[in-house]
Amino acid sequence: MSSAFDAAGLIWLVIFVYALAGSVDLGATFWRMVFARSGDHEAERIAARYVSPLWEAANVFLVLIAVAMVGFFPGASYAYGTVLLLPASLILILLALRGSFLAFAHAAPNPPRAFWDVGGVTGLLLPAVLVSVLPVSEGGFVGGTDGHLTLQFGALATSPTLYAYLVFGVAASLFISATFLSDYARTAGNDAAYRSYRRHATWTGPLMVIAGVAALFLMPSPGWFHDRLQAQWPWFLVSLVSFALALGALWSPVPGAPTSGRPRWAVVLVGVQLALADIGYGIAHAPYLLYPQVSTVAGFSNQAMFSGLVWVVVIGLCVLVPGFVWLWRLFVLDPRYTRS
Amino acid sequence: MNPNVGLTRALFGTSLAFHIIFATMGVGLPLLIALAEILALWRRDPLYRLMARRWAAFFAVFLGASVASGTIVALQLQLLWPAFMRLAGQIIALPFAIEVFAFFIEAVFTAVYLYAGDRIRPGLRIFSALLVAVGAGASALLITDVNAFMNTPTGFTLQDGRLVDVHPWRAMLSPAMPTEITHVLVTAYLAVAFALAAFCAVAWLRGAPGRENDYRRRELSLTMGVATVAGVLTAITGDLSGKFLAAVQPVKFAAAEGLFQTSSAAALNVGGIPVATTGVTRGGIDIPRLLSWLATGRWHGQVQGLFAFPRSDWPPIGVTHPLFDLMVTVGGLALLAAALYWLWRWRSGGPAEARPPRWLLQGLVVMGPIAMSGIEFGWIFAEIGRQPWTVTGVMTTAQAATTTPYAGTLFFPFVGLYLLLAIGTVLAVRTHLRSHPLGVDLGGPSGPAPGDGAGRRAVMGG
Repeated sequence: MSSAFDAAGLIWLVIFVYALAGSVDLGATFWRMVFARSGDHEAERIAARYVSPLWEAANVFLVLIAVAMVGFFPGASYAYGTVLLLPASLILILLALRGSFLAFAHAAPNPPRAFWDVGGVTGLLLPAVLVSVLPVSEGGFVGGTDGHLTLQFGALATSPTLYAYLVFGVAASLFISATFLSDYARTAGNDAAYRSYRRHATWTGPLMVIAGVAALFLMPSPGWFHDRLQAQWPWFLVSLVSFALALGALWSPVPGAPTSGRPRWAVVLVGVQLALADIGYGIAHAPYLLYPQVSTVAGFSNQAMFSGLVWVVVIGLCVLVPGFVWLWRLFVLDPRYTRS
Repeated sequence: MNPNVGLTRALFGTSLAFHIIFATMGVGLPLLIALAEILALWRRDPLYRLMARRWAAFFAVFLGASVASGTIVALQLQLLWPAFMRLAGQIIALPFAIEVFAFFIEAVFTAVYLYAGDRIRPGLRIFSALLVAVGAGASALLITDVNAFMNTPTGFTLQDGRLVDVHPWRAMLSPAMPTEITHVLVTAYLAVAFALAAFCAVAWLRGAPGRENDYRRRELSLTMGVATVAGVLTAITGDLSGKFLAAVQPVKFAAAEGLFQTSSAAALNVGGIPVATTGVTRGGIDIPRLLSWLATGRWHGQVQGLFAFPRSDWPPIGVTHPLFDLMVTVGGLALLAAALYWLWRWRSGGPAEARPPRWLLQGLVVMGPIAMSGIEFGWIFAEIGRQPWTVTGVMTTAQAATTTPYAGTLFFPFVGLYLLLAIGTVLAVRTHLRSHPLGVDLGGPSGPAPGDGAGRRAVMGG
């Protein structure tokens, strides 16, 4: 049934978009906190400008992942809903604290710094909790049969693979957001902030790559997944090249400019890097949504729901993409906003 | 029997009870903001523009807890009711998916309206405000559509416990859908109009006499205008919903009215407590034949009582009838308050700046929380009244609940979170109102300033 794999690809695409949009959103609040504490007010202002209007839009993608899972793969939704009750509740509480305190901080005339710190701390923790779903999905941490699935917390907590993923998730979020904000600072003509973000992108990037390689290839992982992942090595190799080029773009000399670096190129190359790694990982993972309990074919909904949902998602994306582009022009590209 | 079901219901019920308040504000506020923007442009009256800005500041504050609790409810559906969502995913997943995009439209135009309202043309600003209202309203309708499906499931055939012949689009057009979604939408507008009228009345009672009258009078006219239209529509859709229940979900109707014996001259009981063990509704007032008329439109119409159905299909009737009475009472009080307001307007007739008498303003202050609690009574009734089913006739609540035993562990963390969010929201609204007194927005002691930038900080929020 190829519809099941089309649906899985569509969900994986939504997850990819959230990984990017969410990383920038979550990382930006963390950088804002760090720069507020270190007194780098130029860089703080750049993060603040970005966070305000766009956090709600990023949140939409997270809900879309869950909703698409319900409609395309009700079986997987059942399994994940059952085993992730505790960790997903932690995600929800962190997201709720974050969203509301950011809104309160915007409403108050002189918000206490602690309000922004809630955004910063949750911005650091959330990528870690979110990414921990990946090792769970690869298998080995869910016990029981269809009636009574349980997450084996002990096995998960003592697994080195989990910790490699945690470092990877946090570092990726910080790297993606720092690269993106360096470009945002450049657009706003703020050279001091640009240098701050570039400096942090330069150490978080390699950390992300090392943790990512460790999580995927060096740490113990279930046999089926390990073999399939090895077979996808060309994707990961090209991804690594794209990463190297992105770092190079951040530091490449620009004739006549006060500071070296082409951040716009770096952002595009980071996007390419993540897309390639995402494709490699996705192909390796494709046969199972949750190994071994839910295979992609067995978890699939019915054909009628599939075609209905595809219509909704296609028409929805026709609304969503122009909407996002409009927001982008108003808040990211409009110098009246970015410089004010 | 699933041992988790009680705690699972407690946790999810708490989440919903909390979210409903913010969801209702999120549906109603954008409509009132858009109406104020339209009036500002149409009448060239900067006071309405100021009103839109001040309400938008409320909206920005509520948005935080609204999006947060909405995300929680969306995911808790899967976490706490995994078996229900496995069923829903196969039949009624489309409204959930469409809702995400409706919410996205709302989010985009909220960002545009709140953060770029000063940079775009007035026409585009009104368009943005209207689309926030449309997106929020559509979200509410779509989620209520899933609830209507749970009440009267349709669009599939159940064969030996398996779903066959599934029609996802037809499932969205369930019999309960038309009455339920219109009732939910108009009651949201009613509750929010009264909530804003209450804020207005509080400020007017406290404010300096005279100076704010121009603004407050417009504010009260607009909110009470919306409240009146929505109140009449609430009564009409409520009546239609009742007739629908009596015809299609007669157990729920009998439980709502505390009626045990099937009768073609059924009396309407108000305020009694039905007791399942004795089969009698104790106390309250009986109005002869009125229930027959309400349920069927005929004084001799037959209404089925609880005894016509097996005991195992009864919801907890000791709770459903009082909740139903409370909901209807709130609707009645809303119409009464609206009538008194227009009566005063008609009688006073004279000076345009006159402040309403204290008793009327005090009444409106009280009506704010009462109207909001009407929303809660209605939803709690709708959910408890469907018990023991989650999907009527298809899946019981015990079958739907999670098998993972952590709902109890999570109950207090989530209650703590909601308390924190509620206190934070109240404090943020208070702080905001104190730091943006109307007098300053109006341009100091010299009276209203026509400048369009007067309420800028009110919207930008600092």
